[in-house]
Amino acid sequence: MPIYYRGAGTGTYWNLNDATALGFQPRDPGITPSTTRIIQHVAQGLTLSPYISLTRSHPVALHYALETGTNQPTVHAPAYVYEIEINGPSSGFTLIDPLKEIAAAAVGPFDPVGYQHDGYPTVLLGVVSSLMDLFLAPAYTAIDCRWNRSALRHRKSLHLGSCSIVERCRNSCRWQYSAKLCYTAHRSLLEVGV
Amino acid sequence: MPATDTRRTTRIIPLDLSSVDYPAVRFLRAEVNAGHYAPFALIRYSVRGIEKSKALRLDLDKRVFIDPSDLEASEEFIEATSRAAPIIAERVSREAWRWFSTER
Repeated sequence: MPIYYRGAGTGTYWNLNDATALGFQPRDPGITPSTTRIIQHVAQGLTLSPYISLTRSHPVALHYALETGTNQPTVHAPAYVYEIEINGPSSGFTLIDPLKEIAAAAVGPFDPVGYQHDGYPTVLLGVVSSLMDLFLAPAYTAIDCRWNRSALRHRKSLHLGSCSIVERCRNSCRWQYSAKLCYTAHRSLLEVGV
Repeated sequence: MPATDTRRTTRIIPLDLSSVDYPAVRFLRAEVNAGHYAPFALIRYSVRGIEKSKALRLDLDKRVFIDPSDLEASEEFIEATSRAAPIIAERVSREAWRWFSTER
């Protein structure tokens, strides 16, 4: 019998409501399940979905419990980790392995738009942690753009403070390096609080 | 199962940021785990100068706020937080990482 865990940070729904009495249920069971919904649920942390996340890792659940409440846990308002023992597949729900679901939906090797990356061999480091997002930069593009005069001109125009430039940059590989500059400019605008 | 005292401590990272498009909301400070790096932060915020009792929950890896609509229902708030999330996440995660790698 597999044991799963779920963290419930202070102030969250499953912290305020006792799932041992109510049973777990997804926040919006009416939404049609799909691979896209699974990706949204995982990648964007959307809880307004027909799914509810469980983990086989107690440390992961503990992490969610301690770190993702709406306030810090205290003795009087503790965080919880649920331990869920699942007896079998006939318990009125379906356990989904998101890795298998998403992999099964991936396109074939002859599809014009593949899912394989075209970056450096270290690109997965950037996927694993946003602290290493520099590994996500397309190969060579960043170096090319660094010396691109247009990129420098573009950089100057950022001082005008047009945030729409960010989107334009993101849509063009040629402007990858500029996109980073745009991002910096956008951030400084935010800090100034204009 | 008995309660566990995790002896967890938190560290404050000042922010004092506001959104360009919706200045009514101000992101005041981040609270992160001081014991070890965790890819989450609680973001204290105010709306029209009044600090709210509940914090926004920021996923530093995904660079999104988890369910901001649970705290404030207004469209402007949701949009402002979704635009600010990646910027705040980058700042907080780099600050936290720098602290763990150098100053601890």
